[in-house]
Amino acid sequence: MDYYKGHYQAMILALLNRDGDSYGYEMNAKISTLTDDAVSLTEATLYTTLKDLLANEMITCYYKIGNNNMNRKYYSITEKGKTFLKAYIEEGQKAYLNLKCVILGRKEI
Amino acid sequence: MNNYQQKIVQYVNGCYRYHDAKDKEQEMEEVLNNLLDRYQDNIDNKNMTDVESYNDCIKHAQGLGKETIYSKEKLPIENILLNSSLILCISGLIMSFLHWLVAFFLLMTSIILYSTACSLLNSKARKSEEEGLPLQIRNEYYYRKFKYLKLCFVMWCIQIIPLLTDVTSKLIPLIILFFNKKALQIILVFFIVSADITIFVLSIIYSIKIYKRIKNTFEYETGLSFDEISAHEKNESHYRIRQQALKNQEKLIEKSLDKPQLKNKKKEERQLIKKTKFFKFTSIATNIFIVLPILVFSSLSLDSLEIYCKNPGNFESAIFLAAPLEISILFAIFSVASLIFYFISKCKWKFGFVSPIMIFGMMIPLLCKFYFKSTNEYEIVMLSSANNVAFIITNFILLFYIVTDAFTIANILDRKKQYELR
Repeated sequence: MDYYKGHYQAMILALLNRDGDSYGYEMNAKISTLTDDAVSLTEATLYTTLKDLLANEMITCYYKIGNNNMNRKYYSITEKGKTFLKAYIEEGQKAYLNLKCVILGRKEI
Repeated sequence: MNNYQQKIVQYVNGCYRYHDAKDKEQEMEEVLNNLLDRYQDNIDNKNMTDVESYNDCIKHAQGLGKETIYSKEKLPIENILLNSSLILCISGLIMSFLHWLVAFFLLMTSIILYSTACSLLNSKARKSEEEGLPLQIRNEYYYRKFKYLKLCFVMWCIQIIPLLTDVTSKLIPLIILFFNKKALQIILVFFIVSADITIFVLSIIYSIKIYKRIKNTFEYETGLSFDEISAHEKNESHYRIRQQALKNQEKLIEKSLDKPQLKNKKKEERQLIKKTKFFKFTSIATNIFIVLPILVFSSLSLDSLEIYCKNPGNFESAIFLAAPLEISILFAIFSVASLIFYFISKCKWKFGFVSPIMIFGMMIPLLCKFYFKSTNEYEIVMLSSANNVAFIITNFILLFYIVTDAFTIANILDRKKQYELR
């Protein structure tokens, strides 16, 4: 069961919001490190997610020469993305609490 | 760049070989940079060997280009129509020597199917122009249209000759029967024969004109010479070159895969491709075996009824046309063909069962004929007519078969394409 499947967009937005502009592999590596390799996006998943975010204008991209003189595509979060992320986190926290209540069978105080 | 890094480049190129997006190059570059980063990072920071790092990269690259294959490659309806049109026009050509009405019906259906396919291809070509896709894609749509046309057009033209002959041969006896005056008979026969010749000559002239016009349209639409393409196709087919290039690319990708699991997967895919090729061949062969006996058989039976209707006293000649020996041979071929078809199209079992049921349906009146030898003339003719009804129904089933089979072929080809692309 891929528990994280619906949260890839939020993960990428959160990384861009906290650590600033980044490129594909860097973001993927950060996700892997932070989750102790529990979450690792394949290239196909990563680019589909990035494409969706670009299409929804939640991120923008630009080219920059990075290490080893490679032409890198950097992504940065937009205001729309920030608003979405904020709402997503709030909704997520509520959903987590509700889920916890149902699993434990009691209301959290 | 070491050997494994080069293999990664080859792998990514292979994954994107069918990608037709505008930003293909940029996306490829981005993916490649990230994979090379991952490769280096694995070696530097995760203490992986070259092979381990390479395998990890390939694992992460799985599914690249998949979006293109599954979301953009749809079942080509125009191919089904073109295939059906071709099968019908071949059957129509053969039938034109046996029964003009069936041949005419097949000819018309073939032309209608081809026209529909053409309009679909035209609209697709225009759409690709509007979307700003490469010119080659648009040209391929036009090329497909004209590739089928060459074969169909020749057969349609040839069909005119036996059709006209058949119509004339049926009209002349009617004139002799209805008009008693010899002078009038001669004039009318002369008129019909000369009209026949004129129609024939005109149809040939117009066929050539239409062909030339189509040729010019093709050259105008694609900027390529029709004759050049035909000559080129004979020597080195465009598709063959493309297929060869794909095979070479496939080999390079296969070589670049060090994981035994992936190698096995490729082997399985190759076997599947072989199977689909086999299915494609057998389904076409079976189609011919099913279609032709039914057509021959039904035309014989229609003739049989026609003879009896014209001359009720001569029932023997009518029955002779449906002689048991010939029928048995045709039934045998039909049964075997139906069974093969049934095994091929297991998923479409309903259609597979139709033909054996029809065989039994047709066998009943014949069996009755053998059992009741002492039956009178009227009963025998009635049994023969029952046979005819069964044949006419079978003719409708025949169309069903052709369309279903065309769908099966298209499905198999589509699946094969997907396996090749995966």
